[in-house]
Amino acid sequence: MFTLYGRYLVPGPLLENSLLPAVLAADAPETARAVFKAAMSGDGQLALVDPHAAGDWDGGSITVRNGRLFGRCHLVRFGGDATQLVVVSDDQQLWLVDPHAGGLEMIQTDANADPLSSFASVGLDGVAGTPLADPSAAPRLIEEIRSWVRTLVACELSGIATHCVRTTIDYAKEREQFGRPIGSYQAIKHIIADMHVHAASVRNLCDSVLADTVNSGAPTAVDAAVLKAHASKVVVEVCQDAIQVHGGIGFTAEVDLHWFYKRALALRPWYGDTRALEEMVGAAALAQTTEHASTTKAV
Amino acid sequence: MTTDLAEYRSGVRAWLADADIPTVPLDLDERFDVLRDWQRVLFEAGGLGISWSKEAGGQGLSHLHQLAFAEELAYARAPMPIGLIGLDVVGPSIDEFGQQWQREELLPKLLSGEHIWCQGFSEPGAGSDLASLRTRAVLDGDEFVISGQKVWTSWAHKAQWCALLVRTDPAAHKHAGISYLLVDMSTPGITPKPLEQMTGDREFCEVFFDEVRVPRRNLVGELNGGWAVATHTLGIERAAYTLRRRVDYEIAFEDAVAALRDHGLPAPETGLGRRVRIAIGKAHVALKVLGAQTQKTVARLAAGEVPTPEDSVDKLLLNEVEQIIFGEIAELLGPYRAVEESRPLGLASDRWAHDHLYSRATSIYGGTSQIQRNIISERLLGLPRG
Ligand SMILES: Cc1cc2nc3c(=O)[nH]c(=O)nc-3n(C[C@H](O)[C@H](O)[C@H](O)COP(=O)(O)OP(=O)(O)OC[C@H]3O[C@@H](n4cnc5c(N)ncnc54)[C@H](O)[C@@H]3O)c2cc1C
Repeated sequence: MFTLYGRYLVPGPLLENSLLPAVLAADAPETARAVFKAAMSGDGQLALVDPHAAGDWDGGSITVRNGRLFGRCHLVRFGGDATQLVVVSDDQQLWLVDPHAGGLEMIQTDANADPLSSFASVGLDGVAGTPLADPSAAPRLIEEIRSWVRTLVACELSGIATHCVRTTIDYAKEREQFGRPIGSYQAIKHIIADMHVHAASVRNLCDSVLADTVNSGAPTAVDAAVLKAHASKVVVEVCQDAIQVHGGIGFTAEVDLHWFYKRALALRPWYGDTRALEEMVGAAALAQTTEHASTTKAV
Repeated sequence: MTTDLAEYRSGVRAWLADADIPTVPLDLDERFDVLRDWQRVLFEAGGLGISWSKEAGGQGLSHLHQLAFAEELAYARAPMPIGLIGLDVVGPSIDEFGQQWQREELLPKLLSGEHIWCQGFSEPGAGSDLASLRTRAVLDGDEFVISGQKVWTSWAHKAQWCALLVRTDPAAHKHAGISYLLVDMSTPGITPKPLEQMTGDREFCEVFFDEVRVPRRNLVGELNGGWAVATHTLGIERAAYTLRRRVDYEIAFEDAVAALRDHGLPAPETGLGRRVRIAIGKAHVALKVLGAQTQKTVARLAAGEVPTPEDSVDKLLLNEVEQIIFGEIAELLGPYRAVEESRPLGLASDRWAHDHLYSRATSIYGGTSQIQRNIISERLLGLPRG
């Protein structure tokens, strides 16, 4: 699904609206469940208020005192349009918060460079929230949400790459210079061959990670980080190669490549860019005890 | 099928647990002898030619069984046998295109390691453009008389047999005048001269042929039909090789991580601490990328869809992944790379420097990365020929 969103650049908070209810509804209190159900059927919009989304950058901080929320989250996707907020506090708890609650300040940014999102900054000064999960279960659910976001963002990136490769092949067959199609020049062919190999590698990795979730229910934190580390790096490069092969027109707003490129650039750092995620993956590999069983899994 | 495969795998694992697994000597000659003995042991245990027909001395099982065996071998830290060119490349082509006597007499000895094979394709003037090869074979009664030169022929100085591409019709179009011959390396007139590689090993050779007489019955496929056999060989090679190398990389990665951990990691907040995490992270991501790719390769093999231009996608990704993994690990050696037998961060400098150097070869042999890109863009993506 998210691969298709990428391929066609579908706008809107689809990720938040489908993911948050799927992970949280089962264990949520009755009132919250109704909210999730409504969001899934397109009635109302959810936003995820998680300072961790900024990756290595300062995304803010949210603390809890006497059951009330304080602090700020600098980047909330679709925060301004949200009818309900799911908030992640620094102590690893989950809250459902009404954006119109007393003490809450939502500052919508007027301009942004991601063609498909709008961003807001949320300030919390003693805001009341409904706990969404048992305190002992919340950290696991938060990890699950973050892993899913990384996975689905990678799928969206994969769709962007597929689109860019397809468009570029078509263009290279059509556009002529020096009396022949530019796709007959080896310099161009080799760029496109690499684009194809890299786009395919992202697709295959998405398939593989998603196939594993059929049994486990959610991608592991490491698998999701591996996937998004790879997708973030490769898909931005594929977009850049697509622009190069298009020449001057590739730099204009006349063709749609710039939308795909900007979207890829905006998704790249979301929940960790390649560097941050590689470091996280490396730390996990070095911490793990060597267990053959993990790799012996039949291909 | 899956249970069968799972049972097979656990059988292999049990056998390996009791097997006398050799340690591989660094010296090339000793290494050759040890791995040749190991090949016989594996053969007698039914571990070679797993997906080959029974009449060819194989086990008549699937490619997936073969893969399972290779994986278990690697996980048990057991080395590969020495005769891989015969096993992966020449053997399957003889099985597919060879004559009855060739299958019956040559393949069992190829499997057991009694005969080591080499592949004489490349020449000084014919590398990527293999079809321009010039080594001549002229029919004289019941014999071909061969004169010319091959180069980069791996293990030619150790081999008993060679699969040789020769020009049998100089007048025909270049692809149409080539034949595939099986040549006994003890025939008079053959001189292999080992070449030293950048790793210091002497694995490959120049090979000179001076009026070498080979019986006509040693022809594989049709006279002047050698190109079809050769392209089949190269396609099979790419798929089999991808799967096998993936397992090698996994083991190398695990070894590096274990060495780093046993030695003690640098303090996390230091520059070096961060470098180690990022290097290992990059290598791990590369490994997973290849893992996901080989899942598709296995599906293609199981469906009999090999060789295809898709194999070139595998080969290109494989080259990239190998170079990332060994590049990242070798970079952790820092300046100690130049100091033989040192162990910076617990990593044995000799081993990782060797493997890193060797990774330069992957994007050259079996068709260079540029040739794979030509194949992908023209045959897979339909871009116009230049
Ligand atoms: C470790 C090792 C083991 C080997 N073992 C064997 C063996 O056992 N038997 C055997 O027969 N051969 C073997 N080879 C040879 C190998 O197959 C050749 O080296 C390879 O095919 C490249 O040929 P070449 O070396 O002549 O390079 P060239 O073909 O001269 O290539 C030089 C450069 O030009 C590029 N190039 C050439 N043609 C094109 C083109 N059309 N478009 C774009 N770029 C192009 C190449 O990519 C490369 O970068 C081995 C090689 C190595 C490194």
